[in-house]
Amino acid sequence: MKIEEYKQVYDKMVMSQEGDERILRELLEERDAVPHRGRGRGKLAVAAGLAVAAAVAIFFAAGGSSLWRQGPFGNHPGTEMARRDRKATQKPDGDDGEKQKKPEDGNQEEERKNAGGKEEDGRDSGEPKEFQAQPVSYPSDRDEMEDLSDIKEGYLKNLLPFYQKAFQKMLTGKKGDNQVCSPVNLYFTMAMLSEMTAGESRAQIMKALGQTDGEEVREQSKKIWQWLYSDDEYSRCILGNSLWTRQGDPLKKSTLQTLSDYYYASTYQGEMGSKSYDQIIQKWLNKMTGGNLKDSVGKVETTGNTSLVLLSAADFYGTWVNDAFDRRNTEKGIFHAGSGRKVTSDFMHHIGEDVFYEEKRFTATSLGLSGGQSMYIFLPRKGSSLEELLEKDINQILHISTGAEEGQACIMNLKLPKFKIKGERDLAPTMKSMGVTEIFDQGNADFTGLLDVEKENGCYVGKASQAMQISVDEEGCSVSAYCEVVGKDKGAAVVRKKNMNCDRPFLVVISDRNGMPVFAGAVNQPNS
Amino acid sequence: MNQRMSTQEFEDVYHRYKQLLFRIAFSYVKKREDAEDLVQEAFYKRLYKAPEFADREHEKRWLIRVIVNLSKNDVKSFWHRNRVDMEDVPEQFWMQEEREALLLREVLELPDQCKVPMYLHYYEGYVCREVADILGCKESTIKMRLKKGRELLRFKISEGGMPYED
Repeated sequence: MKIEEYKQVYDKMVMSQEGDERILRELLEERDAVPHRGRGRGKLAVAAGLAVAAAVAIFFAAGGSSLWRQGPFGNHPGTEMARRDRKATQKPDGDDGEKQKKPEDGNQEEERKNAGGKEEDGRDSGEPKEFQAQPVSYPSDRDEMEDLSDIKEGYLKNLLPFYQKAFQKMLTGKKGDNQVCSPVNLYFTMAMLSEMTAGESRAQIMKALGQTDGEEVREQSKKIWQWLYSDDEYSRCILGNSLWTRQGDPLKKSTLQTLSDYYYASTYQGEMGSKSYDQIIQKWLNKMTGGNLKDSVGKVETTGNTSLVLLSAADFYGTWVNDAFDRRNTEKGIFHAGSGRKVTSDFMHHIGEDVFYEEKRFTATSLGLSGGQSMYIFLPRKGSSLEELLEKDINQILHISTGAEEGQACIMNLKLPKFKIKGERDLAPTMKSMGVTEIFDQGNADFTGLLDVEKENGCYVGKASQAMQISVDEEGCSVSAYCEVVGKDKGAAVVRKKNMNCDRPFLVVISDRNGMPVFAGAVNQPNS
Repeated sequence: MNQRMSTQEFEDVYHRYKQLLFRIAFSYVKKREDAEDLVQEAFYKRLYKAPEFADREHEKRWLIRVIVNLSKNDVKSFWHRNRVDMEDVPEQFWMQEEREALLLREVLELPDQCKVPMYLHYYEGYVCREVADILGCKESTIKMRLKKGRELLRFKISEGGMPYED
């Protein structure tokens, strides 16, 4: 097909005369009549109506109390999120059938308010009372791109130092072990902690985040959530945040509102240490991580002196652009694991036009994912190690991962093992190395940003951990991750061919469509 | 509502960009009536939700991003998924020549991610960096999508050789 023919196709692609006249006429009539009336024209209005009906039905089915703010489009970012949230927080013994039969009466929000945190059926049989104390209102209009246009610059400028520390601390560990890192969850966890704390505790967190202005942290977090969100047939990236508190603890309503408005975090209250509360927390977490981290999630348990549990989860999936890996080309090969062992693994094979990066200690390439995201692969040159890369080349790795480096166009001959790596990590050392120490100190931790009590009667962080899984195969790449904080009482053009044989430990970084690194992993052996 | 925009100003904007927006929308939804509805929606946003524009190019890019987002939303919607039939496209359109219909079909059947970069680059004349800015992607992503689009067209309507370069 010649370019002239291609242009001719578009030249003939014109609006109908009647459509042309109708559109302008209706717009001008509408403007002259009622300037701010709601939308209601033609098929678009019908489409939005269908989506609203479906979402409301799910609302009742779950018996939850998340707000869903109706927007002009059916597929607004919150739809799937709200559905997951509600499903995940269904009571284990919930009477879903009855709730599904409830008619849509348009008063759901009022019902939620009236419920006042009590169970919908009013039971008070001594069972733990788990209920949502502060619901989330998810964004209704994806079409706010003008508000998001500055996010890349702002986000990266503020967060690159944060990322540098996070990568270096979280991707290094016992030699030979796989390491995983979800900086975006760590960021959200710390940003939410900044809202819940006060005094020096908060100051340390703000410093670690590279911020001085709390309002900026809020706005940035909100934009990041919206910007990363995708959920379609090609890709999925959903962040979920929640705060689980103890029944009866005095909470500052304004903080809960902030967590909801800016971090899309729901707050729940229940009986800490009870089996049913643990089950609901675990169920929420399993839902938010696609059920991929059940072993780790099973360990998330509360005790009588647990004051709160703060969770930030992520579920990501993307298929390769251009069907990068043909299953028929996958064959067995030897992977030289970080432990020194030789491991037989399935190696995928890709030949295609790609970008190649050559540095002193590593080579790298990126593979496109259908949602516009990229997975960068960093392979240390023979004689170098992952640890050396993370120590000496972290700035260049981040520079490349943000898409700032041009790279060379080439025909890439890539051999990459299929891998599924899982990891759990104690986040306390990482956070402490970032200067966040006070919240771990029983004597000094100040959680009066959230708890309406004297500092001495508040809580401190008894546990901070992360679990994550990255899985890569011929179809694409999936990541599930969460961070947990537990508070305790105090009490281009083809020029040449390049080979990349990832038969030894390598690093992967998954960046979103604007070059924001979202997840990372150090693959020391393909299966763990 | 943008109070400063007179009827004449709005008509000028409308006539300046209507075909541009229609082509992008049509590339996604593949139905003229649906594309026209989306164009109307985009101009509605121009009337009531538009920020201040530095210049005409700024306005044009804003409108392109609006129509791309509207089109993506529409294609993903339950409404759209349950009513669009690709088989009907050539007959519904106004191209009578068999080859023209074939070309249109092949262009429309390109993956969504390739169609708009292809259109903006080859038809509207934006360079890759500008397309990347408009669509909020990396330049390398746009280059990859252009390559993919070219490859697909080349394989579908094989006349040998790479038809054009960046």
